[in-house]
Amino acid sequence: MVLRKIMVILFSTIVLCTSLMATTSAETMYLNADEGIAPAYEIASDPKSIIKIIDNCAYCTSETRGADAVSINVEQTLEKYSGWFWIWNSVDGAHWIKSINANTISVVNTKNGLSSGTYRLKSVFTLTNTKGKTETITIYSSEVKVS
Amino acid sequence: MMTENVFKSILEEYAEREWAKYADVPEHVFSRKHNRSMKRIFSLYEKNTRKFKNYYAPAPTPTIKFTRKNIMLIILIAFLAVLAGCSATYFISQSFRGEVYSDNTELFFINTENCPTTIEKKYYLPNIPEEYEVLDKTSSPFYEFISYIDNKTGKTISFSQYVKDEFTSFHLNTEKGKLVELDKNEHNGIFLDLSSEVINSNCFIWDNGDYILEIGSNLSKEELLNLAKSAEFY
Amino acid sequence: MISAALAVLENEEQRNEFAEFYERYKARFYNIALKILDNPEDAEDAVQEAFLEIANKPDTFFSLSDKKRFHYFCAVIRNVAIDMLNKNKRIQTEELSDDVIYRNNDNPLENALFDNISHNEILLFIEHLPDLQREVLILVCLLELPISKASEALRVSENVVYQRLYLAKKAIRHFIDERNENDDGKCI
Repeated sequence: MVLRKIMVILFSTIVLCTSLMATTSAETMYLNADEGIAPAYEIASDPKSIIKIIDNCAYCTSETRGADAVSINVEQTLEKYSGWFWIWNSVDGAHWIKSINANTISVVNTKNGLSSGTYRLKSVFTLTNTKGKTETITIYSSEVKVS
Repeated sequence: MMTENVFKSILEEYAEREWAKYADVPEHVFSRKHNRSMKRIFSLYEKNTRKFKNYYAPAPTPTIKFTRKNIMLIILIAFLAVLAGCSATYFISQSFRGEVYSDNTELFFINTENCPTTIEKKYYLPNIPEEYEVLDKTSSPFYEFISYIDNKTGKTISFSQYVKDEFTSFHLNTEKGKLVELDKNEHNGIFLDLSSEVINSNCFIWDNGDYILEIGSNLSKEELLNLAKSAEFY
Repeated sequence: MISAALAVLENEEQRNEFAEFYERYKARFYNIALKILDNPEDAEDAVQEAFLEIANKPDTFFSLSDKKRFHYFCAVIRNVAIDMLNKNKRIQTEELSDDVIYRNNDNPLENALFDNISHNEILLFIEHLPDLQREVLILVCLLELPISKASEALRVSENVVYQRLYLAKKAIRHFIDERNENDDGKCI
């Protein structure tokens, strides 16, 4: 009976995992650098969201290219884990926006004086191609803990 | 001679005779409402007697009976486990580890030991074509980026330098792009081709031992790789 | 989804024993209640009420053996039905005062008393005892329940249980004494 219950729980977990692995193709897409799940890109080729923290200072890097993009907008937000479930809060004074009329963009910003906690960088890329089509991709960096 | 135990047995006999009167009567069909209520009562009983069962009854030894139902369940779980495992395939090259999904490949750096933790040597591309001008520059202790643009065509070249660590990963669009492993000089690299009929679009990522270098461009593959070969540091 | 799957997987050995007990004796319990209440709906409710009472406080029922459970439950269902009848008829039952004599008179029926009495004679006498006293004898003497548990099953106070037990034993003693006097040829 116990063995059966374990088997059923395993079965249900596997079914749940396989269903989560199904890809989506919405205009707004979310990607976490820790997870291996990314939807299809229409314009963007390899978006990146990278965070490095040294001496309580966060270096926030966002970069992407788009094959036929004519303009790219990047919105960076440094987030701190609230400690409750999945809730992340924006860090005050850690929100930046940069735009470029080209098919490649890179942004680096810093935030000093971080308190202890877990941080991540949210990068929202909005790409517009030659046909006027717009694509928005949100990517989260890996999580970094500040002790 | 009668003892108290016999008295008990008399009581028992009486009780059985008394309740036996109610045995041979027409069976009653209970209402649906009653049946529903009884189900709830059974669950309540089970819940309230769980503590007793733990105390009184020894823990049952888990056994598995190989009934047809159980065998089919095992086969199904095994099949799904294989299926789940097959959703992501993996590759390992000299310098990278990749997890391949249906629409993208997540690239991780390996061989990160004994690598600089900050940018100590800045690399650059000495052979940028003349028509290209500097478009943008960004940098941090861990990252260097420069992009160039041909103002006439709008084509760009971007060159990035990253500190190697196991936490940074790149998500490459392999649903539309083709991923190829290449060897550049003595170093191993990944070439991603997202070119269409209209425009070239590609990137080459390689590990030079200390850092990860990446060139993204609208150049042809040959031009891009030549550019990569020429990368030097200041 | 998991709980649904678990429910599907439950095999016969793990089936609720309470449910099995119900399935086995439900007709009889229903008829016991019906005889008292004379109403099918009320009788169903009485069965439900009795099982609910046990489900809420299962320790006594759970500790009894299979056979004893049946006797125990019969007493419960009977008293549930009587309570319902009393409520319907708006009959109030009075609580007895705490008379010391009932609690202190705990002498068992000595073995020697039964020497000259036959099995059938005792059985016949017990059948003619008042229902309430018989019930207490079954719960306390046969099922060996503590007074507190018997009072719960019969839905009366412990005082009432003590009193009924005292009266039952007194009646049996009186019957035996009378039988013995008769055998000795003395006047009744």
